[in-house]
Amino acid sequence: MRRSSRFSGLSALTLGVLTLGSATVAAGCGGDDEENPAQSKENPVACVSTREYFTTTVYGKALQPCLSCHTPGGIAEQKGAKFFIYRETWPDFVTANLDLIRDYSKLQIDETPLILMKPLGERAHGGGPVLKEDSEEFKILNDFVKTLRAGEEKKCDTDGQLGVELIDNKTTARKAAITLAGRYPTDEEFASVATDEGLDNYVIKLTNEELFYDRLREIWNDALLTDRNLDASVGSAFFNAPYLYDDNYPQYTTDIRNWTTASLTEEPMRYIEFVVRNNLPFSDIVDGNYVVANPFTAKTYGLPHDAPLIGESFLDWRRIDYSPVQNRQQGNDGPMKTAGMPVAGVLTTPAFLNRWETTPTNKGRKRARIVLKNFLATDILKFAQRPVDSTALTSIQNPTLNSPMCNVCHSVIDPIAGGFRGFNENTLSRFDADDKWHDDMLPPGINNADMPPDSYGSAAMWLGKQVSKDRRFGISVAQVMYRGIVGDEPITFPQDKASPDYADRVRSYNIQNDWFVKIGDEFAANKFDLRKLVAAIVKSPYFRASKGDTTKDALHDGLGQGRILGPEMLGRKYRATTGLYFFNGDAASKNERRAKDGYLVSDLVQDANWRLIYGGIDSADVTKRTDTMSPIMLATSQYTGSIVACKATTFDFTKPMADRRLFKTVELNTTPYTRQDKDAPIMVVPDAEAKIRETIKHLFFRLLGETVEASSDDVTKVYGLFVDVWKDLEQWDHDNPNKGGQNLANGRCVADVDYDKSIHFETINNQVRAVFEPLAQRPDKAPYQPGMKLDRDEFYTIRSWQTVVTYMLTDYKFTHE
Amino acid sequence: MQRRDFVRLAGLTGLSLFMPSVLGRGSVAHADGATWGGPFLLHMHASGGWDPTILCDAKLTAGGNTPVYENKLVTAVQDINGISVPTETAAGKFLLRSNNNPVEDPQNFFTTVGKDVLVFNGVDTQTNNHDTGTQAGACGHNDIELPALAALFAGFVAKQRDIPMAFLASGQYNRTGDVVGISRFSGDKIALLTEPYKANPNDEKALLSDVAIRRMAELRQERFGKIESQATLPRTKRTFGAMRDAAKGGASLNLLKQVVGQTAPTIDTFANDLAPDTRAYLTASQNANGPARFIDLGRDVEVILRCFQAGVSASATYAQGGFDTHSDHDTNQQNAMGQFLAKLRYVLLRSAQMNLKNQLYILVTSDFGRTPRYNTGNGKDHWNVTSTLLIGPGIRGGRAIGKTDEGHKALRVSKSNPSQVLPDGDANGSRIHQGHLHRELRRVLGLEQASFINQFPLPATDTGLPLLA
Repeated sequence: MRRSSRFSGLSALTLGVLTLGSATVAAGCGGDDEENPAQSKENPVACVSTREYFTTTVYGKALQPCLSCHTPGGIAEQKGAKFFIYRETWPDFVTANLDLIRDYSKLQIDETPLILMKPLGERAHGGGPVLKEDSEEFKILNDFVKTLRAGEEKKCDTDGQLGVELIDNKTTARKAAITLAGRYPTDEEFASVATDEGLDNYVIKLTNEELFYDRLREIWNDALLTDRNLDASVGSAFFNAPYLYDDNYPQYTTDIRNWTTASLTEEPMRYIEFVVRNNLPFSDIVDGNYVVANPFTAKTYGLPHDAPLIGESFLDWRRIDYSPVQNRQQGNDGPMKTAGMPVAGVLTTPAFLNRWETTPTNKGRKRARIVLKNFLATDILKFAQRPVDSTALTSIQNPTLNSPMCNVCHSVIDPIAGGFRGFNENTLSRFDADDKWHDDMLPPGINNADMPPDSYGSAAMWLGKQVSKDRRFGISVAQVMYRGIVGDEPITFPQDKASPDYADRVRSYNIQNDWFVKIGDEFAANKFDLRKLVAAIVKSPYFRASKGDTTKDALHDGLGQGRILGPEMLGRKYRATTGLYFFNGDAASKNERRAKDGYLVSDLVQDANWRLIYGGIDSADVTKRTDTMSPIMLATSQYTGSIVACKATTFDFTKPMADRRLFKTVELNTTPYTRQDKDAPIMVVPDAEAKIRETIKHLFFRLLGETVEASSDDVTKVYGLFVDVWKDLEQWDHDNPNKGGQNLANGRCVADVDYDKSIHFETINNQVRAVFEPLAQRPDKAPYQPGMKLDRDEFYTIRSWQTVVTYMLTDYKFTHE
Repeated sequence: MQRRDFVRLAGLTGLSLFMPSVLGRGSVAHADGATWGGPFLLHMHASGGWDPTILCDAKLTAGGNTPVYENKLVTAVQDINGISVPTETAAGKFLLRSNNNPVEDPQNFFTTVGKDVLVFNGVDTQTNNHDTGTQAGACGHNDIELPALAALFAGFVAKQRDIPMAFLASGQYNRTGDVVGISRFSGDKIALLTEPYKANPNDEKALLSDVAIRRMAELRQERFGKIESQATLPRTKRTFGAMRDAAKGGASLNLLKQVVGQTAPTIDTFANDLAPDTRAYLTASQNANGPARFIDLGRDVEVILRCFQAGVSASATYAQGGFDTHSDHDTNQQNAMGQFLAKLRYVLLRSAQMNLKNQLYILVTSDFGRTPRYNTGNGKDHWNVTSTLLIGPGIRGGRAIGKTDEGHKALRVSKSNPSQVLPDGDANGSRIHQGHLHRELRRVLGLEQASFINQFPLPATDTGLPLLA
């Protein structure tokens, strides 16, 4: 039997977002008052929809005994049963199962539904009796089937309602700009997001910016983990340009080898970037029959690319339409042969194939697992989870094919593994179209559809096409993007049925799962336009929820502000908000991979040790990001934040007020107090407090995303911090004249170059160093003018503001968004 | 307070300047509350699925035309108090070799430095799946991703002591259930973090004035209260709670200087405790000026032990790969096992040098075992039966609990007396699962007293096996 995906259209879904007030009001039922199995007996007022009742009670309880056999590919189906139930690992399993049960309930014998006879062991049920007629499970099933047959399915006003408050459009725009594009919105952009349509357009605009592509690659590398140094010698599998990796060839240089290594390693992520950058359907990442190559990978594959083999060419990634990658192979004793290699988006890149390597017994299953997880929204490791006892299978020939214990998963994964046939197991990138697939596995295919034999020579291309056509592809991409943008795993179906908040957990799961299906479908309908998918996620409560009912944690799972920023995102936020990255050495370096970003250095991005210590990954040993703060991470954020504050405070004051990022209403000489002469006590400076408060208010929103009034308690406290620090510095200098009391805190805080201007590179002491445009020298005793070098703090305001900025850069709401 | 005094205080208290709770108590260094003196837990994981039949559950090729167990490598085994170790090959003494170089000697290990190891043989992992097996070894549950035992223990300690890196995560499975934050010890950065508000620990001046640092800390305390009161949604509660807890752990961050600044031990201090047949190889250097191989092998675990010694960490996970030997099993498995066992030897020897041994629990697991028979590539595939090792204060080692038959199938142990082996299928017995072991370890480590432990129940089926009674 061949099964087709049994998705049906979801009813119109809205992720209800209520105000807190309305969330506490019991929503009225749309149905009548007669007793209904979809009615909570504990609380007759609350409305429970058929869909919710099915999920929590019918699927969650009554059908559980059936799941051991009646799953797709399970024992029952193998024995010819027509009835099966999708597990929660199947996206939109609720809709799919309701459709199936609705249909199956119509089958009857003597007016008794077959679905009620089988579990009692009647009508030759292969599993014998699994429910007793007087059991609670059977009663639930019986009542539910009656409801379906009577057409009494119920919807409720509260369906899909989460009952949370959202951050407003302006705050959403700020968060999206910082977390997606590493920058801060302009005033005009803030004005443009007053409407939801404006917000959508703004988010889409952000996805066209350079730093978004960095974020995009990070998000997909978190999923595919291919950024794990693939050595250039992988080119030996292609043997088109051995000088890229073999020092026996005169053209070989270390630089060429290193750039080839970098290019091969980054190829999958650059492919994804290329697809989005060029507004191609995102499905190309699995079914694109073209190579995205820079000259180093092109030469490796024997494809044309006319850019020179120098570092400056690294970012010259081009689409090379399918002219087969040249896989030249030496036979055992025969001549060199050239063969075409199939090309299917990232799936056939050496970095993917090597990261998810195969062996004579793994037989491509690891690759299939990754395809299922990231492109088909199916975690095979959670599929039919149950105890496995290999020792009981020693009498079964080929258990992965023949034992129900094994083939419930292997019937899903093995055909997909066959999509990688031809890629040699030992030399992972070498391809042989004539490679024999494993006779002890199911034939290549997907969803119970076999691959046509004439596609065997290019199996990956066939597989990629099937994956992109599968409805789960859109959902899966939505989930990967959700993980990246929101920072959480999708909610999993709750397992603890005895938990008092089980119903809320199921509701929370259902609402999110339905939302994934909805945005996944829209993504597909929009020709896999990733930008619109990003906008949909940003608009959702999963990105925007800010307040809710504190007693509803189960329902509000996955909601709330405060996602910890990973090292890369924190690094970019420093620059987005203050103008400077965190860096300890040079502010820029001749790194051709960063050319489009102006060669600026963020140590939290480029230094692997900082990344790891701040909870990042290395794609090899550490593959999961840390999602909450640890003491050592806190210490790191304190260290990096205080250095950024030191540099950025001074740098910001070198600009005219209108061009500043931080200090928009104060000047260097805006002090809270002054002295008439050196012997006089300090006295208040009129209007200064108001200006300082306005700047603090601005910093609250810019750095922390908090909207506060200048007269608020929050601002008053920070104003107090500013004043206390200022007074201490002023008093010390007053008491110790000419003792350095007007120096900056540290030489690192001196602003002597303009980081916003373009840079050039010079060779200094045999090292290529970035050179920024210097700021003008300040004549001795001359009043400070914007554009001058700033190395003194004669008004004590720089260090006072530095304290305020440090305080905010180390705040919870700075390190989290 | 004078400026100089305050800076000194800053150096002493490290992150406490950030931490309102510590400052709020008005204390200085909090030596008692800011360090942990033990016990410690190290979970070492052989990643990929090791083959215990070349370590502690050794077997010879069984009889018959289609033997239920094949071993092309080992020709003789020795029983050491129930621990079956390989001793001979056709070419002579059995040694775990890497590129034909002798790295470890199981027989020597279990009779010398490892004589206190408690071996659990015939552990049924109930899975052939790497992720599930790794998870079960780390947390005791195949189906639900509970926090790792090491995370639970660190979380328990962190509730009592404000230590900065309670849970060092170098392993494969590091879920915490938000009971503790994850710390990683990476490169040379830690040294930079030991001095608050200094760009470099050697700088004379901090980046901020003393008043600025003190006032920030005071303000932060108020700010924490406000944010906490406004946190109404789960993500906010969770991430803010973690930050608040992390803030408590900074008071002894300066102790990391002790970790960073310590010099590596010399090979001379270990040489006599290496197996004689491996001594020449392990005491030699890989490179002309490099450390001895044994020191090099121990590099990663050395850092963990130093953190324990400094009192800044309570538990750690560590993993080494190379065990997924689907092809050329004998060569590849030996290579991985030799290095792994040498690291375990290093931990045992070094912890004794550091006076940690009596405070250190070491749990050694793997994803699962390897099939009894070779595949067509001379590899061995996934097999749900494996072995687990345990060492620690109060653990009666030098013996094995549990057993497998000649085909490496798990036998049962008596529910009333796990030292007694029963046939598989005997209703009075039970196969040993990771859940059984974790239930016992939770008890031994005192985790039953942890306020959060009831959130993370082990499988209800894995009860009633007093493995560590």
